[in-house]
Amino acid sequence: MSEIIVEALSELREDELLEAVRTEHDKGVPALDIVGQLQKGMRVIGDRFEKQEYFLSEMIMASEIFKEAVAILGEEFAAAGDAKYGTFVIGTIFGDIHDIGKDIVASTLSCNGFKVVDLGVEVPAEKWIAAIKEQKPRVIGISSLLTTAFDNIKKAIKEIDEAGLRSKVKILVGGGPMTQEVCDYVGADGYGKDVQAAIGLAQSMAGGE
Amino acid sequence: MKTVALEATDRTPVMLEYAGFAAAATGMSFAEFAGDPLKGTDAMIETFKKVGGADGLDYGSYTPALLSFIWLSKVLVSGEHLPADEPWQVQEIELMKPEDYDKIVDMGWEAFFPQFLESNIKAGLMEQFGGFVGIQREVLQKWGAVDAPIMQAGTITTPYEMFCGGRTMPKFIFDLYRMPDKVEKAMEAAAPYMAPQAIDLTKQLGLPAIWIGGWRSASEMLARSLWERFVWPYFKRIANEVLDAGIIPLFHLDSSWTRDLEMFKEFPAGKCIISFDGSTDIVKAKEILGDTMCIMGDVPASLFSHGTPEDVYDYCRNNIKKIGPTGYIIHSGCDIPIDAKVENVSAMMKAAEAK
Repeated sequence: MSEIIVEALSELREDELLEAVRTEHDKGVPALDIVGQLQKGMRVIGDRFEKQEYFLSEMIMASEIFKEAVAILGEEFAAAGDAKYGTFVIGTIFGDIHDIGKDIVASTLSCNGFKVVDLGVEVPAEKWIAAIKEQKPRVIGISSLLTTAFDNIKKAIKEIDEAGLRSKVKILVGGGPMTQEVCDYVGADGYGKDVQAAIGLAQSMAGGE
Repeated sequence: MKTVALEATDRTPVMLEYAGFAAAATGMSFAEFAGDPLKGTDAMIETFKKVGGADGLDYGSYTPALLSFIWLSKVLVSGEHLPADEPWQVQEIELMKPEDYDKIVDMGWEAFFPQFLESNIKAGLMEQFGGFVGIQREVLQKWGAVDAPIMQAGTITTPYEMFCGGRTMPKFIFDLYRMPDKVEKAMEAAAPYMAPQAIDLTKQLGLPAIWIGGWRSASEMLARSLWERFVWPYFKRIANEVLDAGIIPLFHLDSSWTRDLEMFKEFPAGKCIISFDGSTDIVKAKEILGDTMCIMGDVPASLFSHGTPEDVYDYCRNNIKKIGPTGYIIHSGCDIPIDAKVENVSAMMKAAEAK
């Protein structure tokens, strides 16, 4: 398979990418191989983001056209993709309705080897606990844009611990006012200062296949 | 004003920016603060005294309705959509549709904007905001009675920020890639209407500055090519209109603008304030813009809410060393958060007054 998929995705040439994916799919190239090329393209994008050659707009657009490309491969692939890092449960903590940052991270994670379960906004502790029991994620991500919600994150993590689940899951936090000091205060395992940092941390916390 | 003009002063000044913090600090419900801006001003004044005062404030009154005007979004308001003791929050859902770009061009912004607000956000919003504007003289009289200067009452942003809020950020980014010419035409149609009303109000009230905000249009949010086409020309246009009116542009820049700081050198020296929230490299800003504009900022929100007075004091002293003493105003990174501790806010003035 030529590198055209990698190049078209990494250069954000949407029409060219979708055409290339259709062509390869019609030729009978295994879907997993095509997804592999797409993920290679996403890694190029991630590298460029880290080097500050690409910015959030490219990450957002790349996630969108990645999903469009995967959708060509069939419904079962669009749903499961290649979740080699397992499940990532994400949500905005209770007391906060902001979701754009969380949505961007969720979207990008789903293009980077995770099956993402999005709990939405204003997620109370009991919903996190239920999701951890049901989905068995390796990592969860708690988002907040409000300093007033920091204590809510702390409370939720405490309740996850009291439910006997803390050792079963790594917890990432993120959002505008989040800092390492706040991450330590709430008892999380790490904080993503931007979407690429979140992906890197999530992948290293989740381990491989 | 000497600090804005990059002249030496006997110490670094401190400006305060807060709204919901005043409700929390005085025990007023967020519903009451949001619902009655004059009572909200009283709470802001009481809070100003509680923290020990400062050299001035960004604004003297507040209404959450303002957020709808600059985000083209609904705001969930305390006491209306939320419990009375929960702070208001912007609800970012897709209210503006792709076909609205053509509507803006066809109808003109003056016709599109009010009907969009009334139909999609809240009936009566224009009247509500008109009422808020109408009380501004009384607001300034209240602050005058406690000898606290107010910088601005006019709020402007670029078409980018409005469309981004109305479309939601991801969908707007898709629009920039998929229909850039359409977006640009709509921006061109809207741009002439961004500044004039705020300029008129500012002149009537005799205030020195106008707030020009950028948050989703920050450098870290988008590719340089997109920023150069869809952000900077409109930022520059608005700022120059404000400057031509003899008013200080107060650039309120959230998220990181580090990549594009050089562009602000285009503005005349000693006539602007550039305010950061902690994401932009403020030391680099001083290196690049120190001879051009007054820098304001950037005490992080988390220090006010979860730090100690010593943390805030040390941060400010460090900033005075790195950024000051001339051409620097101590300020929070964006608004002082709702759950800030009063003693942490007071620490800014202590840092400014320390020898």
